[in-house]
Amino acid sequence: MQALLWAGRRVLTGLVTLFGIAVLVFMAARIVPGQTADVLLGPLATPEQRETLTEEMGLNEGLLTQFSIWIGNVLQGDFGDSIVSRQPVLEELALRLPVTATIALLALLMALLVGIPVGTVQALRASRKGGAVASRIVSGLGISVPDFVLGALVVLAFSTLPLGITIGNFTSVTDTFWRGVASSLLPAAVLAVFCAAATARTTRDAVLGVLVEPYIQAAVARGERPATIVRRHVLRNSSIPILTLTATLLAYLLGGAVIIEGLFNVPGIGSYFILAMDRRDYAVIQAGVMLAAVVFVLMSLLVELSSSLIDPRVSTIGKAS
Amino acid sequence: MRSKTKTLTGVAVVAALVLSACSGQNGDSDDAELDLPDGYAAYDDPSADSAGGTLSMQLDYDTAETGGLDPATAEIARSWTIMGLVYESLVSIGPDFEIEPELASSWEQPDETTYVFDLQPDATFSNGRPVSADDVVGSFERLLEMAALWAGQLGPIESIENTSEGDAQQVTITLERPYTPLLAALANTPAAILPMEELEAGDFDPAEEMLGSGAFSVADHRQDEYWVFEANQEWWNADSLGVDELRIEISGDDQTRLAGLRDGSSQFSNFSNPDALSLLESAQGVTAASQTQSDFFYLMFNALGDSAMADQETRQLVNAAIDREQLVDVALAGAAVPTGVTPANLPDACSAETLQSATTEVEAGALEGMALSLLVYNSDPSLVAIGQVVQQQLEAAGATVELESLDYGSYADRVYTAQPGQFDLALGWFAGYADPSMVTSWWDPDTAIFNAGFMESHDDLNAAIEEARGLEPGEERAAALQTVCELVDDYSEMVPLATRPQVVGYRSDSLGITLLSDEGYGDFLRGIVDFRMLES
Amino acid sequence: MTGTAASRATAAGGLRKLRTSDPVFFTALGMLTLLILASVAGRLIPGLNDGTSSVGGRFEAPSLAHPLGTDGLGRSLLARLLEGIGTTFMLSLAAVVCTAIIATALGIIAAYAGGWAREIVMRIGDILYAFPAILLALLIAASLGPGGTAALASIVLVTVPLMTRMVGAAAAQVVQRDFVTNARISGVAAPLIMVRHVLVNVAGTVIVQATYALSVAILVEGGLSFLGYGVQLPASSLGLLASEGNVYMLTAPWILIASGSTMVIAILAVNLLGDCLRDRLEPRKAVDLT
Repeated sequence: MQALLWAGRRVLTGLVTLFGIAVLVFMAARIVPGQTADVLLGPLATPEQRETLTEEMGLNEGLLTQFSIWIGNVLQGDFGDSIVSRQPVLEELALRLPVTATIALLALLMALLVGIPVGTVQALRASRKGGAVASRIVSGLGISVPDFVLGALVVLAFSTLPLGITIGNFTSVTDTFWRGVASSLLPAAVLAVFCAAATARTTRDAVLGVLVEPYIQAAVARGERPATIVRRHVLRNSSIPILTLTATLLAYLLGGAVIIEGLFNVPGIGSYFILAMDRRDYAVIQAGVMLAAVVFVLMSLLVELSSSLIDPRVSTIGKAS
Repeated sequence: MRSKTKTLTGVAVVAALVLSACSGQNGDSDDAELDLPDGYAAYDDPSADSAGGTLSMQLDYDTAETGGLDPATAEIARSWTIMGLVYESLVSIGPDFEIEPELASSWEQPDETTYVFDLQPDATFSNGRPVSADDVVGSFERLLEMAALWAGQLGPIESIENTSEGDAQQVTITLERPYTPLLAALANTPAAILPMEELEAGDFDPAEEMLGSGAFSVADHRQDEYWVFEANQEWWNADSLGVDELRIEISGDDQTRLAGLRDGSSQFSNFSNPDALSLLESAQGVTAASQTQSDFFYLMFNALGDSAMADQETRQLVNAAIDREQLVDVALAGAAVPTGVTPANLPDACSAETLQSATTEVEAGALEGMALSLLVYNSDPSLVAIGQVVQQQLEAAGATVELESLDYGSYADRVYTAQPGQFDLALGWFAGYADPSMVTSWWDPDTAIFNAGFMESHDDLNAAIEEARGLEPGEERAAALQTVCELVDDYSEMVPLATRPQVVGYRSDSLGITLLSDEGYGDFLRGIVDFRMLES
Repeated sequence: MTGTAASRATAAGGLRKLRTSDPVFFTALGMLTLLILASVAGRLIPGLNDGTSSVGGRFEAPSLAHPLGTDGLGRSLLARLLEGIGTTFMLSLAAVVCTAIIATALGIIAAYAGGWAREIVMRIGDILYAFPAILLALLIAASLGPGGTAALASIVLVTVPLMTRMVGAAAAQVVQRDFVTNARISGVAAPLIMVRHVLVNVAGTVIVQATYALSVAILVEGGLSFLGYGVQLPASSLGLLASEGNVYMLTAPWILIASGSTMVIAILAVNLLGDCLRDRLEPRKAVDLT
């Protein structure tokens, strides 16, 4: 019952967060200087054309009216039409989501496959002098290389050397599944570097945190084999921070791969968002941010709920604080 | 697979091989240029065989018009290019800005104000319906009624009439007074001929779809991502088309398009960055060509604000302090030329060197104590580069210049929307069009509107512009245009700087292209019907 | 009172240990000092900062006259790089100082006051935290108009939520301790308690988190400038140079190499510094299983 109350409370805060974001993104989009008419119609437009466009977009209503109309439509699942393509924004986003999601999932997969083992080993060897310094620098390097620098180098390498993968002609998984996966590999790999390093660091910290617990010392004293200790106690008990990070990374990858999508000419959510920003395509900007926020809030909720299943103390802590 | 109808001779094949071998070689561009016919930046033998198939290209941006896909209201050059693949106009533009037949197989000008066009007898829309004189008349009437941008460029039209007799389709355009740019204006995509019967019946919405009589029809399109065109089997000249399918991928990042050409995933790309020429030099199998645009960069002065720029003599001084030759060399990689208000590559254009701003020496320190803001928008790298060089040149003359690199929205807000404008100096560029008397319209703020916030309308300048429009090409018109250039330079409210470069790169190992050396409407795909796919 | 003294001793002791033992710490600190000194030198040495262009000297390869070559307008890349390091660091440091002040104040107030105050701070944090960093930064940059100010504001808004959470969590533990309760009972004014007892005890967390925020700041500045929404020409910044280097990678690779590697070194140094500080200020002892 208590856990149920706790879960209900989390859902409620999630909704409050989403409403806050809706207000914020709406206001932010409106104070962006330069009116849509300026940007879309160009300097040669007549005042009549500008007037028509402004009216068509409902931009001459009061801000509060605009907001209440927008939020009312959003609640009915209508995010409006893109002013450029004249298609419903939700359809436009739905077309691009699979592309971004493929890359995000691939990157996450690579990151976890590399990051968790590396982090665990790093933690287990933390007390050894030399190795610790080297491993710190390597994983430090991973989170220190900006994705656009790495991405630029990868684009250059694969377009000048015959390495078997080309940069252009991106194929979506919805067209041809395996070709879609193949053309997602490079951007995913570039994104995975940072994520893998971050995973390794979090895993290392989490494992180190578990290793100081008395039950580990007890297990060592009982004479259990190190491999058994890692499997039975360490990884199980350090899984919550890793789970939390996984959710954060996935949300980051789904909403934040803006630069990499541009560099690899990937027609995903990120590059669409940039275009919409340049053109003051308000409906797209608002829907894009809302989508990213919904993903983030949902992921956080899922993680907290599953954390409370792994370790029931989570829900009581949540209530106490 | 479609082959050209003209008979092949062994000589032509050999010539084609030699030609494509030369143009395919990098570093030997001089040799390749020797073989180019006059007026072309790249040329492919139109009688040679094409292997057919799909041509993949990457362009820097897509059409983006509030009028959707309607050519009549299209305002940016990219829309003209893309819509021009589907639609045809009465006439087209060839080498050296010569007017060539398109939908009109021929035309006559019985007197100064009358033009009679005979339509191509086989012209057919892609739905199979023949193009009629009524489509032409209806399209123009629609354009004029919509008061679209291009309606103004068509000039003082008095009437457009269907003068067909029997099966031969004929249209007559009558002007109120002589207007030399008419044919050049008719050649651009906004003057395209739409299927008026379907449009009026409500079966066809030009904003949502394209239905034309041109070489291609649209198979698929996703805004800002890609276009797929297929050869229009109904096109009257369909047999000569060397491309079966045309896929255009939109990719805004220069580096990505360069990469696409290098690794062969794209066979053709465009670059507004003139350095693309040198960037593509080392790429195996890639050839780059530069096309001189009549488009040009210009500098705006806020003559209506309360800064020092309100004073005409000060403006002239700032104008003269700008060294256009250096601007071209440093900011535009030498791939442009200084120009007056009549684009430098058009016939009868004035020479920028003769103008007061070029001949006046500005002493060091002449602009001492002057603090100016210079606005550019950051989505055009050339504009930012020019801004930095102008800043240095004015600072060398003693002024303090704050270069503000803004997003386009903020820029438009302060330069075009604010009355008076909130800036001292600002940089921009115009499409230069295909006749020297067209772009001059924008020097009358009463017509142009967008510049009413920073410049005035001058009767003498307006009269000079109007006079030049009525004159036949030749010495008399050149003299009239010289006057226009001098007046614009004298008022120094909006002064031209240099032409805007356009570079295309293509895989010469799999594609032969035809590209005019000069272009007025930014249409680097004008020669696409002569593109040829090579056997790989 | 004893609690405060005790934790002060720990923080000081942690820092003292750093002085004697950790080569990584010194290398990282050395690299950062070097970068900052170089950017200052770039401004002071006459002739080097002469940002004017020369005709025909575009994209020259590194030479004696221009040790890092020249850029697209024929300017010495070394001068632009040094200016860029200066801009990037000034922007990032200024932003992190703002973040540290805002986040520490919010975190401590939320922990100390609890109840509604805490709830409001945490919800606002949630809202900002739910934006993907780069989208948030872009939205702010677009609202304020691209440029240094926008980059600074973006960095602050991107880094504040996480730091507020971390400081808030640390402060929440401190608030429950006896010396805070005692001070409250003996009628010490709330602001005084927050500064003298709580702030002093979360200082370690603030320092560590601020260091990590600095590395995020350099990344965000780079990303924004790379996309054209951050620092604008003719100014210079590491992200702006990387963006130029990206296009001219083939003909002038030195632009991306110089700016990219400087950025990597800077971020790496800051991160290593953060790790060292954290290990010392929040020490843990682990069992060696291998």
